[in-house]
Amino acid sequence: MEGDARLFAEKTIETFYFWTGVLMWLIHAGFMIYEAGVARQKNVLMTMMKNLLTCAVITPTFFLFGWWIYYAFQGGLVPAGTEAASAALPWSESMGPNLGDNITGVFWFAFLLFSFTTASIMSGAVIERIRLGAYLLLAMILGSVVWILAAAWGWSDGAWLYTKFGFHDWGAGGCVHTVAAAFTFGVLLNLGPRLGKYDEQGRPQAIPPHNLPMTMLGLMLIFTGFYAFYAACAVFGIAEVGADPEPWRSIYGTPMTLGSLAFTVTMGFAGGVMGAFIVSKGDPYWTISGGLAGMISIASGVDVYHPALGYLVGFAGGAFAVFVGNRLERHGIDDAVGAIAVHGGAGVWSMLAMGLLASGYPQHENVTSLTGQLIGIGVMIGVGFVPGYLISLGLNRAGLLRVSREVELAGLDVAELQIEGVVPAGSAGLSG
Amino acid sequence: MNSSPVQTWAEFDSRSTEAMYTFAGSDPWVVYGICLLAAVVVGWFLVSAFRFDKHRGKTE
Repeated sequence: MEGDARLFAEKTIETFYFWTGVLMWLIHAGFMIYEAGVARQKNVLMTMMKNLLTCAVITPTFFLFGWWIYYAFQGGLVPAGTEAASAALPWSESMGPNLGDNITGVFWFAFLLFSFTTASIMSGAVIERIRLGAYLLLAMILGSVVWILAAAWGWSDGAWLYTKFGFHDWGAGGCVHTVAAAFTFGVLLNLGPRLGKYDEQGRPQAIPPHNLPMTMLGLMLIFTGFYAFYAACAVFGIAEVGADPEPWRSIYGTPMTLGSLAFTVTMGFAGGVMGAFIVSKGDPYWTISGGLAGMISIASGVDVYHPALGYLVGFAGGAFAVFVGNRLERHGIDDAVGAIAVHGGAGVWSMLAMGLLASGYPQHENVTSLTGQLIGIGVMIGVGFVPGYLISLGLNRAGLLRVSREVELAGLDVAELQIEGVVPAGSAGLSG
Repeated sequence: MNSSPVQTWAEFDSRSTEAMYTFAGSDPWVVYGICLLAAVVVGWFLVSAFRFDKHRGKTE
């Protein structure tokens, strides 16, 4: 009977994480149509192709080495030869159908979807001028190496940022959002702005989305998928026979409830929308992006915030994202979707707010603190920025980073795919 | 700012701890104040929404 109860519990865990992974695909359906809506008509299909190929290139590479990085590098830069690290190697018995281990596969799947998300954060920022091969190399490095190294350092129960400094980043505001934004910033410094983005005096020119309703629908799908993302961040444990029931736990082992997500993710979303609405004076693109910024702003402390506090944190995050986005644009950074502002601005704010507003929570031998959060912010920015900048610098010097001026002017759909993604109204169309 | 309602790991990991959100169990006026501030922000948003209509009074 006890064995049946344990098997039932394990199957419940397996089912839970499997479906969080499935629902997280909504994030990528959302990213695809969100970015396609932002792109001009001449680049729509190529933008969507990049989103599709992001998932394709990360899946095998995350299987081959990404999952191992997570377990091998929790202590720093020297790989550990632990049992957990060995079990994450692609030829280990756990990394395949195994009747004695029904959990590794679904955990790997959930982390794979986190990897898709991290790389997709970069994908929108670089649209309309990056070369496909360069983009996919950068996406693979970000999604299968860089973010998962940051997760090993700051988002695991053996992470040195956690064990040494009490760093607390419940929903990955650091290792997913901040790392991806810092990496993207490094890439954009080498990639440069789209043709026509700045006039001869260096003043930014608006390149409006070709289909803003499509972009807004994409973000609604991302919001939906993010509940699954957050649910997958919660650890579903099983109590030993005869012990008290086991609560949900954070990835650091601290107790929590799924109810905290229901309360605070939604309150953060609402706050982010309102904050962005006010600061952007009702701009639709920034208002809905503020919802995502709000959901990211509460990431680090969603397990402990009072919901009204989560609302205020989200409000500040939505407002801050608009501010950051406008500043970056004025300083020559052409981030086509505002990814650095939304994911980086809100990601850093998420970790900082945790230190400012939720210090003092015990975490085994440590407590949460502002100092620990500041160290974590510095590490996450550095881990993201340095490889993003250096690898894109090398690609740029080799002439492999950016499409030619002629291709950019013609549009990537016709120049590279020999097909129009969006047929102008009134024309005969492809089947006409 | 120490806003944790629990101070030790043993206390946090016990089944006797219930409300664990920021400022729970401390002076309730802190949570009342946070809720009041949230309500003020909602009011600010509503005022902004009314001001957003730049053609107010011109559509009649």
